[in-house]
Amino acid sequence: MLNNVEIAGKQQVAAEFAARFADKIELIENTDSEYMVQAEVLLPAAEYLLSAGYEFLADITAVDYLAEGKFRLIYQVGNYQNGDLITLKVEISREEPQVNSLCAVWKAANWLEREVYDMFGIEFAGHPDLRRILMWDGFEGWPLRKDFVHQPTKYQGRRRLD
Amino acid sequence: MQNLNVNSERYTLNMGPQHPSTHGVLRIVADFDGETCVSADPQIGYLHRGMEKLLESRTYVQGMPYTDRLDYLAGVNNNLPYALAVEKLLGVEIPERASLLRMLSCEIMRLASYMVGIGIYIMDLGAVSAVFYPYQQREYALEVMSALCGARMTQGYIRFGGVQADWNEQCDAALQKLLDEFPPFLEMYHKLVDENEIFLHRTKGVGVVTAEQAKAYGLTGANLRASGVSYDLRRDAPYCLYDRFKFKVPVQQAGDCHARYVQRMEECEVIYQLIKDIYAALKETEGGEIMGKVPKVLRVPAGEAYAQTENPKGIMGCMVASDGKTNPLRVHFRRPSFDNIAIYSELMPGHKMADLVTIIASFDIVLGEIDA
Repeated sequence: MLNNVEIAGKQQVAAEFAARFADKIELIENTDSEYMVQAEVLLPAAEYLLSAGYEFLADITAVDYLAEGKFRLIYQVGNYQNGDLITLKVEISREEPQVNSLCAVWKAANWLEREVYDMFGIEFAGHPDLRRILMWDGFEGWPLRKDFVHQPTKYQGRRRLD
Repeated sequence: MQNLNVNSERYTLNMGPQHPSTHGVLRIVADFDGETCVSADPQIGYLHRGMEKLLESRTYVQGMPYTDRLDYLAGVNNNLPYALAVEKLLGVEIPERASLLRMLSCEIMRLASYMVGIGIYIMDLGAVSAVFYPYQQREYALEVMSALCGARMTQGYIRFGGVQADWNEQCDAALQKLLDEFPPFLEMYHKLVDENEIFLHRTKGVGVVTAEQAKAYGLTGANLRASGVSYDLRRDAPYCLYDRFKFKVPVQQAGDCHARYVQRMEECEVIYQLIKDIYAALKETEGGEIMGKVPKVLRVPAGEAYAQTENPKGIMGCMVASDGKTNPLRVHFRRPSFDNIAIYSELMPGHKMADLVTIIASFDIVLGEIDA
């Protein structure tokens, strides 16, 4: 299906991003393939990348910049044909951590987004099955947030199985 | 597919986390109609150690041993993406000999990891004797690592800027043993397993992953190449000095459990040849530096860096975010097994109970990596 699609290179992606999402997507200085993306154009940008042959969603993760009041989501998108890697960075506020889910674009996003939700409590709008993946159901808090309070004695003296 | 002549009842079967064929503590909650799986939900996290959180409170150097415990079957391969990501931020240059030593140790451990992958696969299908032959070869590979850095499994051999120890004479002898023993083993193993009728019946046409599915789910490594997608980072986006070496990337078209076995066996030959080539190149750099210029106390410049390598299980990635302190702001690992098993809930329905075991075994997963 995608064999007929012309393989887009990094330059073509840069040109296309500039043409379609003029001031919504910016190339980060001193890089050739890392972009700062506004949250509202994440989904169309991802759809374009898939149509351009970037079929490999390698990774989704987040970084908690507590002082700035922001989460930065980092998407790594690869290309099975030429080995390129495009990085999309999305900043969202810590008060309202929500962003569009990419499950409809890449199925790999399903578990990756669940992991980010589990660790940071970031909601992915449109995710079909958003629940904890590594921590157990009923765990309270978001462990990888910088303001997560570590309680070493919380589970001491309790029976593990009821 | 429903057989209306049989009175069957839907029931939920819980497989794992303590189950010998789940390679650790994977748990699969599956619904069955009679003997046929209708839905499967992999549950993970039983080996979650909070590694990414732990790394935030330790210095960069203290974090290195943790990476060994991700894919504990090939420790040194996990050191590499972490080291590469931090080195990207540091901007240090790696001496040629150090790069070659990194590649050589990674290839040796890749071979060792494939030996477990193949051996345990056949064992899960019932042939317990078939596990011991590959383990003997793995032992030879671990002997090389033991002579090289003093540790057999969780080596922590790679340092920021280079490697821990230089190649020595005991390594020569140990590697020679591996190189001598491996080809006869491979030939013998082909004879032992390839034509086995039970093996063929249980694997051919089972767990077929199409190229489209494999790409959509972000499969990597041998599992991806067994589905007809020729993608190997060592060739397509070379790191270290892989661009110097020419090697074949085998591909299978079938995408079933049998193809994944054939794929790993073919890749073993490539790895064997690569070990020989890298070893020859290493011999030419005798007396070279093995550590670049890295300060004693690492203060990594602020920024975010992502590095990826081709590990035995697939593509391992490491994202390091720094704010200029001695400990990282955030470290994240893209663990290949984690992404590989996400496909199970789509792949397993329609298969018989026994095929689930085959599917899990054929993917060659390791739970230390899935749960991080």
